[in-house]
Amino acid sequence: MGDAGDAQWRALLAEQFGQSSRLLYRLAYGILREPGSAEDACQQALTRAWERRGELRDPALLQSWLARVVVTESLQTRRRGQIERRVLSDPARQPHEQPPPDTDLREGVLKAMEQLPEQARLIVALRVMQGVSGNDVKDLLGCSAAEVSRQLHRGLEMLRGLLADWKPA
Amino acid sequence: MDTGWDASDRARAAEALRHVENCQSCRDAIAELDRLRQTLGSFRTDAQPAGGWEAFERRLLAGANPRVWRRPPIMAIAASVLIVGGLAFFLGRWSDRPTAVVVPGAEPVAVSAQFAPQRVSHEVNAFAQVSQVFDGRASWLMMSNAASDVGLSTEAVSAQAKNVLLLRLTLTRSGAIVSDADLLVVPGQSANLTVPLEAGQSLHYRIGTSTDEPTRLSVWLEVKTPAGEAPLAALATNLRMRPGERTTAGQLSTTAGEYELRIAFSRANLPGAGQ
Repeated sequence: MGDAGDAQWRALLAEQFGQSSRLLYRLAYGILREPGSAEDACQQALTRAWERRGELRDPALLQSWLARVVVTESLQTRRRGQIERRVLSDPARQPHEQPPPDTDLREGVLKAMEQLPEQARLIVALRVMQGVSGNDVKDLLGCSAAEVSRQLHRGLEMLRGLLADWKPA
Repeated sequence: MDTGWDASDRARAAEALRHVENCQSCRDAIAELDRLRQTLGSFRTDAQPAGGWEAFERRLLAGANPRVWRRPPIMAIAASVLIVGGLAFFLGRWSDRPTAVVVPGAEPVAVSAQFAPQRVSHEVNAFAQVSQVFDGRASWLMMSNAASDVGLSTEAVSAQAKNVLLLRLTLTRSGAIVSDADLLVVPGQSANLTVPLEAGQSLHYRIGTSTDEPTRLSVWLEVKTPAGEAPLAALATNLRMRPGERTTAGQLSTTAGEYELRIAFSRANLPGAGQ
């Protein structure tokens, strides 16, 4: 891709990211509960989008592609649990937001989410986890309302099945 | 949302509701789905990133787009290190123990979250040249917008190494970048380095590495005042990272504000080393 193509892509990426940056960050933050890691997940999505600019030519699908990468990346980051932090300057200070009650079930839900097909996972994350309206999800993903409903139902049923015998580790 | 239901759809829905009224297993399933929805809904957040939305978008777009990065004059930095380091060496200032030399005056380095291949190539070449001057004893090389350091070992560690680890150490305060340094270190070696900050403050890093995969990193960071008294703040963390990964290593709370350390990680072959 030449300089002109790159310039167009930069403009497109900036525009599309500007339209969905809040949603992307909140998707990541909802899963990770840590500002820096949430930002890292968004950064990862943008970096991948840039690296794959030759393949991702349909502007209508860029936002949904970014959202899909953010959700997948956030779930993987959480599972890896690679970050160990200790703030030594003020041990009394809580550096991160405390997890809400029913943490065990939340952990189970996040693990089960990883097993969902990509489209169902994204729609569950958008519709139920972040409360995005069905119309907005439909527009974001470029699919029909019926498809959103179908995938949402499929995702929730799969989650229910996966969690039926789930016990906290 | 327009569901597109017609009269027959609505009739089926009414029939389903009547069924549920008389079916315990269906009611249980609905209760489970309700609980699942509630749990999923608890992930909802109105959180904002550090520095607000505009700063967040600027940071991420800059990091995602390699064309906005400005490549630092790596060879100029390397030459400075060579000149000052070589001079110090010939004046007998280098001892046998690991040590460092500080070279001020490098040009500002624009920040990116990833290592661009061309930049990696320049930095690795700089490391190889520095290593050659010091008979393969260079165990690490740090380059930032404020200084460059090189650490020497008693043995020819870099002469035996096939590759080098690259760490980008980025410290932000309220979302704004206050320090950005690239560290190249021989796997298994440790780096003890200082990066100047504004107003005479400085960052002191102690970073240990491993030779295994994923690479284990132990990171110790202190923020110090010009007077050199007790550190304003410090953090310690242990990470396991693979090339291409980046992570938030931790936060520091000081009277001057909230700092956050991010680390991007990569690995590159040294010139002349086998694949």
